[in-house]
Amino acid sequence: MSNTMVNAIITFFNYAVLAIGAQNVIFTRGLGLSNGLRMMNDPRKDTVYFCVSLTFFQLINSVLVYFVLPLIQGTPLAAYSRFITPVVIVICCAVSYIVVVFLLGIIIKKKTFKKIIYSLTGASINSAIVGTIILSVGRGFNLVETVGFALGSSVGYFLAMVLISEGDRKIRHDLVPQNFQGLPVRIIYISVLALAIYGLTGNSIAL
Amino acid sequence: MSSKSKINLNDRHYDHMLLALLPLIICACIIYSYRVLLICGTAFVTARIVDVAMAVLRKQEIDTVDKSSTVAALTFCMMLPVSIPLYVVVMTVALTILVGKHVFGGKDVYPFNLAALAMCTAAVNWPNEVFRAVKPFTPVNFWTGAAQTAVSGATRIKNGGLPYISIVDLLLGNHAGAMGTSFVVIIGVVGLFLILNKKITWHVPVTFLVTCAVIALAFPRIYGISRVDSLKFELLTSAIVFYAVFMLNEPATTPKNPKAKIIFGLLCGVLTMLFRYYGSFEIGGCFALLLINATEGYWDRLFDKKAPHHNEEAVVRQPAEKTPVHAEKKAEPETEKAESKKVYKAVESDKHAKAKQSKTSVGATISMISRAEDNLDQVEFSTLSIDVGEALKAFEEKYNKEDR
Amino acid sequence: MDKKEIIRDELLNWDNTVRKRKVTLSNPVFIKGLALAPMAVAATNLENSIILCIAVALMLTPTRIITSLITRKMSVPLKTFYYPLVSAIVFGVTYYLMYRILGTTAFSLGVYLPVLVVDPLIVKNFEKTRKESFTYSVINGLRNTLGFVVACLLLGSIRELLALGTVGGIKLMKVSLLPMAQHSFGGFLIIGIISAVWKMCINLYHDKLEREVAAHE
Repeated sequence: MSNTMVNAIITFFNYAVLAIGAQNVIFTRGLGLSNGLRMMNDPRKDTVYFCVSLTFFQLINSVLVYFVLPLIQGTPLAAYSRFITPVVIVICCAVSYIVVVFLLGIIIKKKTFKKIIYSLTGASINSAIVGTIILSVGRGFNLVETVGFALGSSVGYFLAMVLISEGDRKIRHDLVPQNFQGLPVRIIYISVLALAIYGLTGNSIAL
Repeated sequence: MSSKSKINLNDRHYDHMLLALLPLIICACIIYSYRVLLICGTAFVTARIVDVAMAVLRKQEIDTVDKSSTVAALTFCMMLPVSIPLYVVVMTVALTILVGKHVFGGKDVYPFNLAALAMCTAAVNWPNEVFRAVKPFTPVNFWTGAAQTAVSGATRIKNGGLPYISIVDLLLGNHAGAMGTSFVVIIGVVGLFLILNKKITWHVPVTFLVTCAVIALAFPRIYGISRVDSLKFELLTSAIVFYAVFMLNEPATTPKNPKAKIIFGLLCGVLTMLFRYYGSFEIGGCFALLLINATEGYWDRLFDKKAPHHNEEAVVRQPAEKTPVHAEKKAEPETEKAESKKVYKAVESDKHAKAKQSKTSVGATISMISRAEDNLDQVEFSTLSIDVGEALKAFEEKYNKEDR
Repeated sequence: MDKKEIIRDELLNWDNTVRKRKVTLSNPVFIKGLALAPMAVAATNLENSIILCIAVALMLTPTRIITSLITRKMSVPLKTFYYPLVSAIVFGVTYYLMYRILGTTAFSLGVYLPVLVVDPLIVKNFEKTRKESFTYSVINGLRNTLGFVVACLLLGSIRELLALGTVGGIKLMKVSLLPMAQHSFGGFLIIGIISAVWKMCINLYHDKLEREVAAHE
């Protein structure tokens, strides 16, 4: 294996680990938390399907935006790229979602399709995806870094959702004071986990 | 009745822990100063006041048996330097007992180790005060805690240096550090005594210590020293032995099943060393323990499917407060996944039948989903005390009305 | 209608009352848990909160109005992206306006203004297929905005006060009570506690209404 290849793999894993731990998309950045909590409340959306779809879309969209965004550089819009980036991202998400849904509709059985479509729709566009893409665009990541960061973010999201849903089993009982039941105790639980993750980074993230 | 005996067992555990902490407090008094008693007393009083205040606020009986707050407060004090200002102790203990214990339901059901939570809270809020070490036999001002400070061994390793402390001093705790975590020999004897008398089980502490030792041997952090020296400094300068004996055995936050305990200890060890190597604080063990506490229920369920989770038992023990939750019921669209699933299933089967009759394309499925989502949004669920029958009825009414 | 009947009406149609009062009874942040990311991470002080509020105020109502005008009949896959697309375009305009007025201060929240485009605070209400009239969308949009603004300013001031002892740069306390309030986990903790207090107040209000009705009868 050549030296550049090894370097690329190391960079990839560095960025992935960075995104899973120190820059965890939920506990450090809070991105996708509102969507995640809504997903957990929704009986038709399955955490695993949701997170797997999110990983999938995150990867596709990161790569798509990475290639599409330079296209506007030559046009008069280039001066306003900061303001147009969200529009480009939403369009990329839309294209990938429609392609994926129709491909899945053709390939897999209808019963399975019905099972995953709810989670797929929710996972196709949310602030975890948009935030991660904007972060990697803003920092000028190259392709390897972008993919590593995207994969790490979604794996971090998955781990965070698993921890939160595991916590839900423990905090859902009548001993919790009445006014804290529901949203407040959940957010406080998340805050303790965020505190634990902070022990790894030790400094607040740069906005 | 089994739940009742269990709770007595928990209470007895805290009694044993309180007794086990006593030698540490006495040693700390001898080699530091009587300020140790002031700090411990402040922590104890604060914890008790918060406990009583919460009992009064929630209109419950004041629990005189419960010692979990006391044990947590004293364990937390043992990890502090003797020079700690009292406001740090008061603020941290009050916040921890309030948020970490009572918000999550109080005695026996809180999900995170209170002492670890307290230490993490103190460390992120007042790092300068918490990580300031005092050498033994240094004069300390009784009230303000002003003293000549030194760099502790753990901090020195963290900064990439080598602590020049002899093995005897390391074992006896005769070096700059926290009040109670450096007396490795005494902690070890207390731990052995507790294990031999079956007050705590060996699984978590032993697995934890072995994992930490293996990692310290395999991946020495300090540059240019032998592996054995690495093991010595990693295990003896920081509070790893203290964590193993005093923090990893709390009944409320550790698994019940022996196999689960072994996995729990293993994970704790790996994560502790990870946090110590790459984290930004010396007290990696506390941060790691908070994270592992979050997975604790899973390991129990993995190995013992029949065993109910201890929280469920606790819920059985004490019936729900009968205060109505009207405002919540209406104000919050939070749903109980399990309950709403039932409601959803009922409607869904109906919808499935309808969908089958009409179209079977992808587009039809998607429009069906959106309609179901729309209907579901209109039924408001409460977080608790949901009446499934009523919700179902309301749902069907609305559904039928819209259909017409 | 006299006061007694108004109260009774409020109680009987508690569902409706809750839905109408977006500022208090169904606050988008403290009761519904929307826009948690910008609130917990970005709203660390009053200045940041004001920037967030400006962005939401400029985005929320126009997005709602535009979408309510066009989306009479639209299939769901289209809709899933039509709404974020509208909000992204509105956001682009908003962001540009803010940049012209505030200068680079508008960029100080980094990723947390752009993610508002897909935040449930702005996109959530559009998942419903029910049609929305023009006036309803205006009124509801304004209510939601006001609810968010109140929550955001409150949270920003409390966090700044606890972490630094100041509010909007003015020194109010000599000591910093809880330095962790400026971190994201502190933000979550404070949102959780305010949310619980908020709920307590709603419960007390409901009880008060019930007592008043009982007293009249």
